[in-house]
Amino acid sequence: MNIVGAVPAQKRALSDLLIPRPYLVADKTPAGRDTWTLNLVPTEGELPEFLPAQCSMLGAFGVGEAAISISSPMWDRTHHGYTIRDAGPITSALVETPVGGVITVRGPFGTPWPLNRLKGSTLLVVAGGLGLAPLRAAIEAASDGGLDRVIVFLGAKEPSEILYRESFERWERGGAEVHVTIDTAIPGWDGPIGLVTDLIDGSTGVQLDWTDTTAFVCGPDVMMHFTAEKLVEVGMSTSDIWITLERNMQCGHGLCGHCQLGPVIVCRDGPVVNYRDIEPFHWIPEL
Amino acid sequence: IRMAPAESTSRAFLGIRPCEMAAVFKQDRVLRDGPHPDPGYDALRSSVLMIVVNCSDPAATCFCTSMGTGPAAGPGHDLALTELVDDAGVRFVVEVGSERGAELLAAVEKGQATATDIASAEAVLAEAEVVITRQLEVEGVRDVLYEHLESDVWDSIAERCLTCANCTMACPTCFCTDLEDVTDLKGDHTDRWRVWDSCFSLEYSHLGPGPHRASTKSRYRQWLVHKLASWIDQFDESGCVGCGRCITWCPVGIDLTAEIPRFAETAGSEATR
Repeated sequence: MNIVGAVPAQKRALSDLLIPRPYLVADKTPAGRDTWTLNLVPTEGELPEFLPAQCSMLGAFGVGEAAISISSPMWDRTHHGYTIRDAGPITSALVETPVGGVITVRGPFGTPWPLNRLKGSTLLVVAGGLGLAPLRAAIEAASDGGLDRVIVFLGAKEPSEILYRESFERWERGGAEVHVTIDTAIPGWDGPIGLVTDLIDGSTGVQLDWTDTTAFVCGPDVMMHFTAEKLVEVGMSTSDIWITLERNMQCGHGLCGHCQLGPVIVCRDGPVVNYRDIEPFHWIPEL
Repeated sequence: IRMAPAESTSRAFLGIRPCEMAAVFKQDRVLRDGPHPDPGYDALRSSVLMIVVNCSDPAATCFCTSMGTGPAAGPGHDLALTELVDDAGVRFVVEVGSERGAELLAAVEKGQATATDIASAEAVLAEAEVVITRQLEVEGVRDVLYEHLESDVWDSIAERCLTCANCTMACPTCFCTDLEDVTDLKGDHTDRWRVWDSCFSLEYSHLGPGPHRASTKSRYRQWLVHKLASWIDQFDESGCVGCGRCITWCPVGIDLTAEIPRFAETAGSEATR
């Protein structure tokens, strides 16, 4: 599968990458507890191209910047969507920006989901909660065709925290199989109950040839660790599993040192990394 | 939104040591020679005149010989001076390293270095090499550190380390920076500053719920493993020049040349290879 038309951030001048560009909040929708999806449009110039999993540094004047992944589909050229959870002073200032207000953007940067280098004919996407945001654009691109099977396993705490529900039907029309599990049973929910790793052992009835599958995994570190380990247990090789990393980011292009995890400079060598490469470092506390 | 103009002052580093010069070259690789050259660094760096003084009198903390950075300067300087103090008087044997250095030297009163002078200068530097007894076994240090990321040795270092950040401030290769937004009182105007930073600060690894590296142990480990191991994966060379300043400036006397051999003595983890 070939993704065309996206300009990798690596080719741009540093002054370009360091100067924030003002964008307007065109639209703002709630997306679960403390979480909002903001659609941003540039105040001048073109909306940049991006690849799924890439992030931008979103800034609130006088507060600071945070790295947020672009979650709108690549084909949507009217805006870039960012799903942001209020988890500190910067994200708080971002989600409190009203429609018509200004947020600055630098980017996009980082390594994308390797959609054009898939092994086999099946793509398995495993998302935990807010982890669906960096995966969304990849699911949109993959369910467009070109792959025999696209399977999405999504785990959320409760139904109100399921992101992008309005897109599931479009994904399914494109051939994707979407399975959602929530943590604990609530009235009105007749789907699977339990952790997203439970979906991997076949409790959905989904049959997979694990040796013919590539997996993209995103969610909290603990979820990605146990998901990857479970995938290896059922027969996948670590080199066919991709996860995404998160660290404190400042410059966004490999010069400030902040986003390191072992040898990986997350803004430049990530956020998407191959699990075989990161495995020795990923589960070491506070590395 | 405006970017402040790049500084354009010319600078001369007079009396810089070979290890410090090597450190500048390491920072060149990080800040100038990667996929995103830092224009601010480039503007400062291209004007620099380097007049190195070779070391005839190493300190007890020096281990430049282990890191291949001294006591004599390698190529890359404009001029390198070796001081001779003997019966013939006090003088410098000057090695020209560049055209710029040659032009500068043309304007200075000097004599031709005699064969004896040159031999004396070489002897001074050979003697300096012998005086340096502090060693760091560099071969395999990256693997040793990667295999011992959860070793008890880190805990024993953490019992002493104050996370004062002196080592990062004294180290000539530490390059981390932070972006800080500063507003005026009215909130109308924001300046964004890029400032030198240290991985020992709690804010350095801030994520939503708090610092990712909260413990002293994790911050010391980040500094040492980056400097001696992951730097090699990132930039194809070690980040350490063996200047010994971190040893000199540590208020509790942590000495990485003494700590690193301790890791190899404990059981390692094959998983981190």
